[in-house]
Amino acid sequence: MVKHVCNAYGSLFILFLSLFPVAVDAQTGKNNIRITINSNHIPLSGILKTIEIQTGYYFVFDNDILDVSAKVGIHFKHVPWKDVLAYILKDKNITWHQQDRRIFLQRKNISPVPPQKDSVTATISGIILTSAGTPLPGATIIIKGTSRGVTSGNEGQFSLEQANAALLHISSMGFISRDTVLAGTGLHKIRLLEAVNSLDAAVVIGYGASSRRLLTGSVSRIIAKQISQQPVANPLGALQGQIAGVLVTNTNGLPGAQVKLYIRGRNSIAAGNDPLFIIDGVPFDITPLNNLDELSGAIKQISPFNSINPSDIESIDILKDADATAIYGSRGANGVVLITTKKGRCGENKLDINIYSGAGQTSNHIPMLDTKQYLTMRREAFANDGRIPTVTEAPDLLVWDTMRNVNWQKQLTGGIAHITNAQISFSGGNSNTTFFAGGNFYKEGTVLSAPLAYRRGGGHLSILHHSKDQQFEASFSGSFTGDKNKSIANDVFPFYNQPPDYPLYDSAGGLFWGASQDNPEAYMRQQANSKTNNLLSNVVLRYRLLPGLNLKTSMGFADIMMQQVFTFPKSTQHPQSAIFSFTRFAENERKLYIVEPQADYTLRIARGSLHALVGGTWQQSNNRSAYAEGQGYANENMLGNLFDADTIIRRPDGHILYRYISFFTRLTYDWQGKYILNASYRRDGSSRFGPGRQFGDFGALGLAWIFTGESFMKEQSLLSFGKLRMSMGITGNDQIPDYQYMSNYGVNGIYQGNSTYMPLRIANNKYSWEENRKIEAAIELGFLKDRIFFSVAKYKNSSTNQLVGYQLASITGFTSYQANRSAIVENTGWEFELTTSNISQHRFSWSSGWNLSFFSNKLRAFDKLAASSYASSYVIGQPLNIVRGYHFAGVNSETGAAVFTDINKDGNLSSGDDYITISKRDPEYYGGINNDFSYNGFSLSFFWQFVKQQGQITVNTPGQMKNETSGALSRWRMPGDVTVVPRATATPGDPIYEMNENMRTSDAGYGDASYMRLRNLSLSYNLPGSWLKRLQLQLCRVYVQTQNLVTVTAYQGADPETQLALPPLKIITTGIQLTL
Amino acid sequence: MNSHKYFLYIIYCLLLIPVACKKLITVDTPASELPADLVLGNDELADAAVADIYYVLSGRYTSSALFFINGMTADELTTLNTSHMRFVNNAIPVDDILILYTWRDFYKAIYRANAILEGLVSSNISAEKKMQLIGETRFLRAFCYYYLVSNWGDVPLITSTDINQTELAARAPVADIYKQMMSDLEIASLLLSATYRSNEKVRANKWAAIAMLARVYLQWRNWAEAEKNAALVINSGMFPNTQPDSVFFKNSQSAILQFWMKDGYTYAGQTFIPVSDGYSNYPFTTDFMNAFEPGDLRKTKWTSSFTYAGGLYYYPYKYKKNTISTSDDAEYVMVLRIAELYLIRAEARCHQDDISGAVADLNIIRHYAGLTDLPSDLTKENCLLAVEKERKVELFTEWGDRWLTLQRNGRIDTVLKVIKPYWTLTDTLYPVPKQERDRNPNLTQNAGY
Repeated sequence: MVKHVCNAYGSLFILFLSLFPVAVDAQTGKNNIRITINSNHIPLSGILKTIEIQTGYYFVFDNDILDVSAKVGIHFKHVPWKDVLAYILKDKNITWHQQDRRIFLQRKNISPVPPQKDSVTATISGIILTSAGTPLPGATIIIKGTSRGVTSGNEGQFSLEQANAALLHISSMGFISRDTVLAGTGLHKIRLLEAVNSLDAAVVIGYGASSRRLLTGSVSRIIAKQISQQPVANPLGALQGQIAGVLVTNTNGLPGAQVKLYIRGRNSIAAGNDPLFIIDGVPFDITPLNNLDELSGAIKQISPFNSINPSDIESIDILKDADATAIYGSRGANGVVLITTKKGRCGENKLDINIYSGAGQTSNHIPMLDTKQYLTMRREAFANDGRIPTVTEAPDLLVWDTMRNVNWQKQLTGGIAHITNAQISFSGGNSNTTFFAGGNFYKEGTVLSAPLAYRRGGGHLSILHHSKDQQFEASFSGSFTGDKNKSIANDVFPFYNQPPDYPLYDSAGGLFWGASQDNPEAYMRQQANSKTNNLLSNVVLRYRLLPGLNLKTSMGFADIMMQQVFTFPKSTQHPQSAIFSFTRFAENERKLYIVEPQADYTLRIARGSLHALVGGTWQQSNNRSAYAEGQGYANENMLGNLFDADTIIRRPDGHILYRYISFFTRLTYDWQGKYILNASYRRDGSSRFGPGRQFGDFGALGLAWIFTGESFMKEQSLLSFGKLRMSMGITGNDQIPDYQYMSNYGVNGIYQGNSTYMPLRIANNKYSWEENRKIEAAIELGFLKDRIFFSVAKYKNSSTNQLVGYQLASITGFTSYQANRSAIVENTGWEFELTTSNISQHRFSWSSGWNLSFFSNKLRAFDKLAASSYASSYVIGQPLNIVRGYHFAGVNSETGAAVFTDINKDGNLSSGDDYITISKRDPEYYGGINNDFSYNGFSLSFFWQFVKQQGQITVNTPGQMKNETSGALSRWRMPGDVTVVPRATATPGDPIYEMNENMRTSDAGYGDASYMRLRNLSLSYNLPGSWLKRLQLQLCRVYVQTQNLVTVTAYQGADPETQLALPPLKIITTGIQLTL
Repeated sequence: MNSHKYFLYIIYCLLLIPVACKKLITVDTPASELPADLVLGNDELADAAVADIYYVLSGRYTSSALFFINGMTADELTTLNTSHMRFVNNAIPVDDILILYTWRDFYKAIYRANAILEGLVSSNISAEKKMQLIGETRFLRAFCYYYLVSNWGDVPLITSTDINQTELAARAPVADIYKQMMSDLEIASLLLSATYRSNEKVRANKWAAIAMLARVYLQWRNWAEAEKNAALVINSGMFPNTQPDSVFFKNSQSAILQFWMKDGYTYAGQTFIPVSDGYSNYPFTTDFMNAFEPGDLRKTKWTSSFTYAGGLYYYPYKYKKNTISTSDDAEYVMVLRIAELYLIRAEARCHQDDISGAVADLNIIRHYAGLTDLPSDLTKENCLLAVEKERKVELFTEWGDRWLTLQRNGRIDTVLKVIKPYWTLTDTLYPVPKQERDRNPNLTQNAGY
């Protein structure tokens, strides 16, 4: 082990060494990392690679000077790397010098700093290639210390007039930049390595790419590896806790349920707060397709993201600040999520198969009273009320079998959900064409006591081709996903407080119905089947008109369609309201077309480079919805078919056309990699606004100063990277319903056999764009060669001219209308990110990542709030997401009645006047802690997510015909009892009953819902190379993954995340991945 | 520097997109919608817009929930639904959802009425049609206000669709609401024709407006006007009283106005009638069943019974259909019928000391119910009690008649405090929905909530 020790001290040591001026003589160097290499037949490139891996250094050289494919036999054990290098370079007329982590190899006759020869003019020329050998156009080649430089051409070629050999700095987005000394002799081939997980790795930004180093804005990314560790069906689920400033919440534990994602909080009072999602350049509308109450079912809203296969995703980039989002103008206010799907890489073709299977069950439950405790409470309640229970008021005491004891949560949602996921992909290509083709299948059962399941299958194809001269490039990516969600039509979670002696069946074996209770078993028989087909496709054509000037057009088409069939057999409906069996049929489809012509232009101005982008967007969405109900079926088995119904009631089909155009531009000026200025502007027009108000202007400015690039920072080496950046700008929000400026009528019902027409809205043709002003400042620091990377960002977003579905009392005829409101909502926050590579050795490594976000939302101003329809909802200076209600002051120890604070001291308790803010629903802070370990072929990672927040909890109002949590055992029973649970009472109208009812709207109903959850734990083992060879595999990995295994919380309720809904599942899966 | 030129040219082209192509973001009225001026400028479509108000009012809240809520808060009905004991015990929470939806549907109808009245001003439809539609719309608006003011007391008086006037409207005094109703109904009675426009009685005509006027005047205790208007309807001769078993069918002879029902059954029928061997959620109180005199046909024709957990319960059986019916005995919602007009006139006459006239009217009703005549020498007090009793057994579960009668004759406290342990006088009015008050700070709450 000792020979592999290369811990943090080791790197400190290296760091210390690198403080000395550049050319350290290799032979006299003091950094003697010892390496081991053992092979009979290995190419030089392999040896260099081994040295790179074991030392953490990398080689920089001109391929012409060394034939790296020459194979040699080599046997070294625990030998300083320099000796190894000396051995392999023996007789090759090559010398080397080390600069930081780079080792430059050069022909011996060229001195590292060549003497000046003024008179001779020569040209340094060469070709820039990727590590795979593909020409790399657009790379920047600069003579270090000067402003002289060129950009590589279509085939990666460049030439630079230069008398002497010079130290050149070669860089390109997404590649590790190289410094190399070249002279004007011959054609040099320079390979740039693709940057992975470093400051220089590419991140996707709006209409382009950048690197973490050069960004002026706030962009976070997670990549395929992080997604693949988590056995989640919805890709958004994999983002939970991973990124500072991004809050992701499950809404319930059923497959297909919506996953909410907010970036830096709610900006708008009532317009949508969803970020803009873009998949391969095509906007993806995440509004659920089942947008009618009748179609919500047990799952409630179904996330369209279920129709995206998480394994097809290469990366998810989250754009947070003005600088990053303003290029999306009117749609950027809530942040932007850019999803890039997997593409082929040139190289050997590979076939990848990945299968896992596992099971899940609900992560938590609410402890309830058993029948004995329940009945005692009920009898006590009637005794307290001074009443004798009657059969109509208390069937649970007088009619039902009081020996029956059911734990409804266990009975209804206590099952095990089986999960299977299979992915197969084939990818590869050559220097002109690459491809990726994948297929997938996913199946998830449910924890409900009915044979329900979610199934998904699909395919993904991506092809990229460019002409030999790299002048023209065309790429296509497309995916098709179909899913079937077999669920039930009503949520059964609310049955957790069904009386524990409620009989499911009557004496004849039929379903039993109480007068005011529904039968959960009946709910299990009311099916809600949803089928979604999702097509996403995108074509990008790129043409290099002139060096540095590219023309590009991105075209996208997306089509998502959901068909739903809900069946309600008459036998499963409460006989009191059961008229007939009926079936609901719905079809919702959204088609989207987008064309975005763009041009980008790179040129050098003075000592910097300017990148200019201009583009335009034309987008159109056609939404179509159809709904019909089939009523009356002779046979309950025929319910799935509309035409077997006696009566068919069709609602008028809905058609919505949304159109959107814009012009956008962005200028980025990079002064020697030290000062970067980024300006963007967008003008948007949207059909959602009335004539004369359709256009809005948006823009932002971002600045970055990489101060470690300054000469005064060169003297130290603790700080390997330091950047200050700030941005400010204006974005907008057009997430409002269409046609709101039109005063229109639509079909409502039928009267006298004809359709009737109703006004559809209170039209307003005056509303216009909402503005969201964002400002952010951040510092990013890399220590010890970026092994420790730390960043802090502080932001402030304020939305003005709030565009709201302005809430109205229904005396106006409607409950809302579209309008602007002069209110200012302010979101401020701090975001911290820390990644550390704690131990990085050949066989053992440990890295960690932390992120922490503090968040505060405030209503800064609201014009005439007290006199508005929001008077009782909001308080200036408080967050938007508040709950108003009574303050519960405990239980009167003499009477047992709940006591509430009479805020206005008028002697009466009245809603409104005696309300205070009883809960703030936004989290105070949240974050995640990730640790990755690897040892030989094993890797272990665990990820904790935490949220500090308040949530809705169950309230105990004992005595009513509903079960109580075990907290009700501590209820008030006799004068003198000091408790927070009031006395049992069963009769509406009884003063104590009425008083206790206020508990529902008091702070007794809210409590701490903070939690820390082991969101993900994954352990995998890669079979060693020797085995793989025998099996003829490139990779064989077996793994165990878990989701939500441990939750630490003091929450009183089912689960602190979903609160009073079906909790998310605890999942364990095992799987295997093979690459051929 | 050719590329500079190219690039500038591209910028120029792209800049043109938003400038030159406003058409690209213009969208037409969607296929499923029609512009308001088009609807109200066309005879048939305007008619369909007015029909929509009837449709709203025939819905499950205003034409069913209101009936059983009024029945429970008065002394007609009790419930097997433990959660609805809040109505029986007059302990309605301020955020009660049934109360909210009922209130909301009335105001929804009022908005539609206001929109039609505003739109018809400049509309080009035929004068005759315009008169008819304005008449009906005013009738319907008054109809809504009648039930709002009767159940909630002071309510916002909304006569415009202008959001600036309605958004924060405060509650108007009951008297103002009555003034508006009377004016609407007077105008309606002038504009509407005396004949029905089809062979059904599902759109208000002159007689419906006058009958409604009688109802409103009675509640306002303007006995003379109540009597006068009731007499006008009775004397029209168009509405013969009929035997109890033929009252509630569609196009019943005694009907003045009914709400058309697509499936030939009413929400009220569906609510009250037990399914097969089941039970009704809202059976009568014992007290109510005791009000029937022996031999009253209405007890046998309009009530029925079931057993539940060993007990015998009676339920309202005026509507006999709770599933789709296409036959001649299909049912519509009864809105106004001739029997009520006799009872209105009886009450008005009695208050004006015309006891014999009052008794004569009561006896007409009693006659059809198979009961013997009342003596014509009743004291005024007994005569009023006789009217109250007759209304109770004639008009139960119809538009909260019992609840409104007890309010009108001032006996609500006397009658209800005997049988309701939690009764207080402030229970007479329902709570203004909390959801409404949350959105309109000018809406005050009724006392006791």
